[in-house]
Amino acid sequence: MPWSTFRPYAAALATMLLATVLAWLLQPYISLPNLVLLFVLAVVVVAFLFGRGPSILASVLASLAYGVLYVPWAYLYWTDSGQYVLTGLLTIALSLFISHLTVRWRDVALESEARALELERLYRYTRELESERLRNSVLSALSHDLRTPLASMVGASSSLASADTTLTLEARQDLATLIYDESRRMQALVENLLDMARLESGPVVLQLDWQALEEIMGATLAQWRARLAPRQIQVQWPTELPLLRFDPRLLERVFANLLENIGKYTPDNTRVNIQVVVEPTLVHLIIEDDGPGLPGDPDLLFRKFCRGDNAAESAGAGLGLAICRSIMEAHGGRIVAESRQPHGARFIVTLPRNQDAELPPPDDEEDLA
Amino acid sequence: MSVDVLIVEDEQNLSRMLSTTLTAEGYVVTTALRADEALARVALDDPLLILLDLGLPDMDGLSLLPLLKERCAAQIIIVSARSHESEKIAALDAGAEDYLTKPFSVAELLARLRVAQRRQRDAQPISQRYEVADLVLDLDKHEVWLAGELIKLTPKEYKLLAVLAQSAGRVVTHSQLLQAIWGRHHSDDTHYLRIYLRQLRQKIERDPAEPRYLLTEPGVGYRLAGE
Repeated sequence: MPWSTFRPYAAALATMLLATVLAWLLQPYISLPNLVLLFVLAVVVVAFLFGRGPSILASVLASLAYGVLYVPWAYLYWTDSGQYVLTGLLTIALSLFISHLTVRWRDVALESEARALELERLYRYTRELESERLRNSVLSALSHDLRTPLASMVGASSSLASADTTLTLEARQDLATLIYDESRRMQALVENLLDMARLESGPVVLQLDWQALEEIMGATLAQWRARLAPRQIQVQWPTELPLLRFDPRLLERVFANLLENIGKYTPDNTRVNIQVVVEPTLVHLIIEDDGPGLPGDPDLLFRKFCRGDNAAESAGAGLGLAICRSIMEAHGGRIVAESRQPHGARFIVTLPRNQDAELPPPDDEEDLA
Repeated sequence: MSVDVLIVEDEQNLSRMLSTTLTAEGYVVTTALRADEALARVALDDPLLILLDLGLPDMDGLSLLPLLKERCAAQIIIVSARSHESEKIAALDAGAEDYLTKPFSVAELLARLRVAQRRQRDAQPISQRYEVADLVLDLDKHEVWLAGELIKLTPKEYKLLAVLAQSAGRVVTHSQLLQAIWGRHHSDDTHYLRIYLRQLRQKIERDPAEPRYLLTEPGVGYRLAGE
């Protein structure tokens, strides 16, 4: 018999010897039933650690040890011996039964552990596949979206920088404007990439503060109106708009990304309508346009690196809306998109309104002027 | 020859772009690529204005700022990346004049420099009259006029407008405003500001959500349009 087969049995023997010695030492202090339980406990330990065979050996050893230690030999052949024999038999039966249960339980535990490991391995594998796919699409989107503006910038700036240029002032102006426009496009892309990296790198840390929604939307609009011209942008603010708690820079990103999309995907004559709906526990900001509308399932647009079918010709990695969703979810809010009839798109940004801001101390109403 | 602007910027190309542009605009410019260089330069050049990038290799910009202020009377405009709002606020509260977020346009840069120069010129006494477009604020008479009409303001509204007007064209942080108007115990009560700004805009802005005068610097503070 190889040692590896034999070893658990040796270990079982050793455990039972230890239990016997312990029982012997404790004998003066504890009663007989407790001593029997000590042996049963030892059997359970053996069953748990070494499995079925060793635990059967341990059961037999337990009842033997009990017999040798505690049954006075003289009684074996007399009437009272019945009780001791019964205890011995019960010990062996109990030990066998418990060891059986323990071993089964142990097997189930080991098996489910193995299954969990297998599942985790599978999960990791699919995740790797997924991230591989993502990496490829990021790389192709990035190489396109960064190279294209770079190519025009390198070309335009090299002719501006060359010493023997014959460019007219007008042409120079033109090239400089081109460099400016392209670099703005690249800037937007880089900002989105950085935001995504920041949002992905761990839990989003929000700089929450009481904010007036119209201030942040207004500041964002101020930056975008000129770039969205000649599209008409109508904004309607409700007379009573509660202050809300949110991170102003992140909400500014959400609005900027939505406005940027309008600039990218709608024609110049598009009309844009922005309004706010206040509910008891929610505030919705709704941005509608009468442009071409959304391609396919609107919800897919919020996935990372997912872009509409008609998006191929404009720059962008398909990050803007994914960033919007991450930001809104971090605020306990949401953002959804839908198509409008007969055409157009609607984006609804929803923020929770859990409590209202405490009012400032009253101001003296007397007029200064 | 006195130096107008010291550019403290470790990115050589950005520094070159800035000095070329500012020189073309008529400013006398020197540059420093590192913090120790900047400290040496301020002693030599005594600049009027400093453009300070907060991300220097050898010293944290926020630690450099007070050292620069100790050594010269220059107005310091900080240059910082987006999403570093707390850094900007700390620098402004530590006495920086204003900030620019990278990447910024030359027009923005020049506007900031003009405001800073103006403030430096009439540092003493502070201008007692603010006048931009249709809005006139007479700080002596405590009067506010909009397109020739007297505007009624509550005391807090007036105080808010006056504090912003004394720094016209320049960003004032939330906590600076709160401390000036409600006292130091209220420096975190930004909702007071939101409410009063809203009221004030209702009274002096044609479109309160897209203000002409009372501009929002999200996450940092407010700026009363300076020109």
